[in-house]
Amino acid sequence: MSKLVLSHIRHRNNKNFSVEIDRLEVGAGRIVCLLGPSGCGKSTTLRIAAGLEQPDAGEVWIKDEKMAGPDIFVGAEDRQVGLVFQDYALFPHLSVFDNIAFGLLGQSGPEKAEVVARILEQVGLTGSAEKYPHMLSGGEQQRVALARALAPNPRLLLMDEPFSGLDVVLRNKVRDETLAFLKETGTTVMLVTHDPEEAMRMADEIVLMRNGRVEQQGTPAELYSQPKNEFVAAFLGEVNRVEGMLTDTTLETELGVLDKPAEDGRTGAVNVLIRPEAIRLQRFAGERHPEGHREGRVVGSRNLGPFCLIDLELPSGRRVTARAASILQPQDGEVCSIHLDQRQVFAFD
Amino acid sequence: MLVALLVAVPILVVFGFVFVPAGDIWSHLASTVLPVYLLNTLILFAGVSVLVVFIGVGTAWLVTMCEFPGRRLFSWAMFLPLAMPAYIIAYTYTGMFDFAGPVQTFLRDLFDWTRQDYWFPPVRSVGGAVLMLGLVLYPYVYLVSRAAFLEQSICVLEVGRTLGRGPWGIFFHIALPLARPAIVTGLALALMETLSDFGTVQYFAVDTFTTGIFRIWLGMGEPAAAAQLAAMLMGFVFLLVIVERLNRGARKYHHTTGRYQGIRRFPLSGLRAGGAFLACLLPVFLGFLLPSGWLLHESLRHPEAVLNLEFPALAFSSISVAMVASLLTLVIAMGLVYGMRGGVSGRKNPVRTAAVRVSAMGYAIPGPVLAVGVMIPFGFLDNSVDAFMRSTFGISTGLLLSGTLVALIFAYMVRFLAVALNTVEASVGKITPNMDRAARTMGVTGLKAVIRVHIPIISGSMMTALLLVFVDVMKELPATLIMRPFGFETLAVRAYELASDERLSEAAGPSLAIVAAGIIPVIILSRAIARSRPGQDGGAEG
Repeated sequence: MSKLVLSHIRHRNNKNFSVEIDRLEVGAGRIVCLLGPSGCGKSTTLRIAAGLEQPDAGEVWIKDEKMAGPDIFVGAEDRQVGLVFQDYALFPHLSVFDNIAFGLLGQSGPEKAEVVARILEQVGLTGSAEKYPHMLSGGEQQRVALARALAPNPRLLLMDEPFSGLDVVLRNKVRDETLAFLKETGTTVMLVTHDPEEAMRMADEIVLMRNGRVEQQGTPAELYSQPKNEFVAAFLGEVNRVEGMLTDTTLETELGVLDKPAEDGRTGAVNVLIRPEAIRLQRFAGERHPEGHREGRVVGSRNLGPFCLIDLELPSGRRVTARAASILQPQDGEVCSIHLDQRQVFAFD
Repeated sequence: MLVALLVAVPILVVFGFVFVPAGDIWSHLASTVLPVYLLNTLILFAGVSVLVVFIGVGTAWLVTMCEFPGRRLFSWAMFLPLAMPAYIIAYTYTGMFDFAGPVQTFLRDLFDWTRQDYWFPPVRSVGGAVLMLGLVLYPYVYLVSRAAFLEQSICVLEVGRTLGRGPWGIFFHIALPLARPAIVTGLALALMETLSDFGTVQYFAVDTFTTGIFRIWLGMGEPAAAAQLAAMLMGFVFLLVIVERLNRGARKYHHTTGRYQGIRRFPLSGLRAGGAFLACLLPVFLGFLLPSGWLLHESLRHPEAVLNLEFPALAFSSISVAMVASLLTLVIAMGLVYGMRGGVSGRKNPVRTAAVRVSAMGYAIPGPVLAVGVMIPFGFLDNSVDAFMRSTFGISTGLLLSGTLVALIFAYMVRFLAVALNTVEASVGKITPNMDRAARTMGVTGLKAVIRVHIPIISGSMMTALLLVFVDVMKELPATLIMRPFGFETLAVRAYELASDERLSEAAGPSLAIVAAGIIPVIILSRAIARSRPGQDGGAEG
């Protein structure tokens, strides 16, 4: 059963930029990430789901209730969705307790106290109820924002870049804690981010958007290893771009010749995107290599800790980047032979 | 530093007098007029507070957060009543709504009433004064609460919506509490102006502390008691600010977010849009359009009263005094700002800073009180010089400075220094020490740096400061009234005198000129605000 369904959404906001989504579903208890560069319409999509924005056309369903359509529009205040912003948007004039209790309308004092106490315990902030937001650290503020959004027991949690306000060290920790908490409570989440790494870490499913349209939707693994187009491939990880030629059975590139999948019927010139880790290097030991092997000269390399990035110059003068384990870092000027890993090479028309 | 102290003298004198025993005048006052002063002043304060907060905050919210026809126009038109000095609106309304005015005459003619047949709310009453002051002072509250609403992160309001609150809930539970410090600031400004107001209450014959100060000082010759009364008055305003501070406790109101999004306004339609339109139109109409229209009408009806020989002379004296005062004020403000900065590029000096702060307090001191503060040291100086000259040279110099334009212009400077100071200071603050350092590495230092780097950056603000002071001086009434040299008249004084003599239509010309001058800063102000607020009219994508 899907908690959130957006169907045939058409929306033009005042920047003369439109969002068109044919179908987007978030299943119960799943975490779906809207991913894309800034200005791709992901925040607008989130706002449409929240009821902060009324779509020009299309329908929004939450838990089998129609929230927006040609004849109906339920505003944010009546949708029972939770919302966490990038900057948390805590109410500075209210204590942590009052922030969390803000959405608990129509409950008695003791009931509120119970709910707030329970959720504070869940997010590990027991004892901070009487503090004010400015007294809390960034990570704690994030947890208060999460607690506030979840306290009224919303049908759906929407998060708009919820971790980008945190510094890098804190971000990973808070992200993992939040993920564990959301999974534990079985919360249905739609999360907006521009960071592909964050999306892959958090999401059960990624919806990659560009210019107001969905480019590809699928599990993180699907998007990473079966991108539908160049944009998707390049957005989710670094790529080298080279020209390639498809024959009936092979894909020929400057870095090597690969077998073509049988189901691929295309022939002719294509753009080939090769992930750095797909370029495997072997050092020359002096002996001759089999016919058709390719080689490149190392012109520089950087050690990034667990792995290293190697800049290679091909005989044609083109430069590509390869990635290898740090222990394999070569010397500058070394000539290596190249072997391509077919799984991380993508050919697009 | 010296200059700051010089400017601070009148302020210190006023506070100094608080500790001078004023004899039995107090027991006399307490048994006679004090209760009346107190009551009237409190009614005035309470009434003006309610009115300015209600109008100011309400219209600011409508204009900022709702979409209705005319919203853009109103967002700056709401400032217009600021151009209308309270004493002018007071006698304008008297002219229109008093017994002999057109409205009552029309009603009498229409229904054949005589004086006994009907009741009409009296204009010249405490209630009338509240209304007049409220109508021209609400822009202070409007100004700051609009700024506060614009600054509020829209995210906070949107979170409120997803937590189940509608527009009213958001207003009362989030926006209003968040804007509270700003609203109190605006209210304090409005109340200070209420305190300073002399013309309106005097004209309406409402006895307040302010008119009391006049009477006690000029009528009873008791400057100490007058200063003490003045200090008590100021105490009210400070009390308000302190109570608000205490009430905040550990709360903070600065925004927890630095993210601005275009404001998604609530679209209003039909009746609601009409209501919003009227709610914004009414204060502008009553506070500006109606009175200025009446002034225009009266001036045109009696062109001879406007175009006689007197008018150009009055305008000339008003403008020349205002020019001299504003130029001097600007020069002093610049000197103080750079003094605080410790030369062109130096360290801040806390003593200097404190001295400047004290000297800028003149703005918070009502005109009549300030007049007391200026006249006393000037009189002392004059008498000393006179005594010295007489004993050494046998010549009596008489009063050199008191009762001259020098004293008056000095009083203007003290009163309006803060206006120029704040404007210039904000702008000089934008010149970072690194800019000075960069200039220095290129060999540009000292005065050269000021001319080549600073002046081009702050020239706009200098102009603004000059204009603001200029217009404030043009409008100033009570201090001018007390301190002007014998026979010296300005537009404001003349308008007030004519109105006091019930020659209302003749007063229209000078008044109109003052109002016209007053529109200038209103335009500057609204433009500056429109420029400086983030996320005002932008899109919504974040």
